[in-house]
Amino acid sequence: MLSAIINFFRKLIFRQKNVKLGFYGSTNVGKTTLANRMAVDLLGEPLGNVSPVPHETRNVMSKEHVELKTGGYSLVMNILDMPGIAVKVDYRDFMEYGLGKKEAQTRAKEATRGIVEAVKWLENVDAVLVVVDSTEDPYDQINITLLGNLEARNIPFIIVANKIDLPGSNTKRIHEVFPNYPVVEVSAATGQNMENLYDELAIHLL
Amino acid sequence: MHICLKCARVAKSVDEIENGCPCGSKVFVYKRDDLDSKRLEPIKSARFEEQRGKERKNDNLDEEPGYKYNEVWLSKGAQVSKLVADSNSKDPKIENVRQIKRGVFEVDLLGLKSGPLVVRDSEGVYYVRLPFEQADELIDD
Repeated sequence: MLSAIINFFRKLIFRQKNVKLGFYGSTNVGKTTLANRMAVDLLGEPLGNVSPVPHETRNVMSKEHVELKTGGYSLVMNILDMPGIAVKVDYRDFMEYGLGKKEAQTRAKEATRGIVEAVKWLENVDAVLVVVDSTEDPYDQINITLLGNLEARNIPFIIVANKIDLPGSNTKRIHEVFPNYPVVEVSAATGQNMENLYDELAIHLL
Repeated sequence: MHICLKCARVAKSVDEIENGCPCGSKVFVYKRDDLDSKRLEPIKSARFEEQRGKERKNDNLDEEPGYKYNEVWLSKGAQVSKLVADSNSKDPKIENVRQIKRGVFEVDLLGLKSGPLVVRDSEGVYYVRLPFEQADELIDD
């Protein structure tokens, strides 16, 4: 009851809030697709390019003043699409997608630089969407260390179980691995369940 | 003299040492001008002989492509190899720990302070050590 009253006054005072929202996760989980979906839904224009080749996003891509209106309140966000985080970047992986050696090496270097930039940005984000691929096991080094760091820094986050449109999607596994964290199941590619994500954003960030 | 660890510029004044090098670095390595450079060589040779035994290969550090080495004595007798970056390089490195040769490393202290540890192996593969604290409750023992 007390928390509800506090929340009521908090919302009353902060009717509009500007939030730097970071999109974090491993490579190819759909961060940019999700960011594009939100940017198109709320602002009318996309944010970045997507590609099956890992580390397509190698710089922080941002879209400012993305406004989410819900229940009479307004949440203004700066969407920050981060480069995918990895602990190993091997240029030879890119060559398997048809890139030449020189191009692959350049991409690897840029990707590594992007990882460094994404890590540094944790100092500046207000909230995070941790995007995971629902067709993959979410219990991996990247996700665990990322969530641990967010908790240690008291940065609010929502786990986004993406790619629910794909066969092999197993969102139950994600809920079981992270039972104590908010999990929203979406398909950034098709737009399925995006309303649920917007509602969760309003709940957690307003 | 005080030499910037990052760009090898010699500090012109005490103010520069206090405020930092124009390149942005705030780390200077001190090299005493009165040291006899010839006296240093026998000491270095003896140390290498002692540490590496008969397996010494190329000790001519000047042959290392793109770099020149000066040895600087720190207080308490510690010996440090200072790396002078190739001034013609337009491709800044992102790894903040690099092995120049066996037993000789370059460490970007400022990079390590502000970001994750990044190393690159001899095949060009990058490894990133994420500077995250893991919450105990997330790990199953």
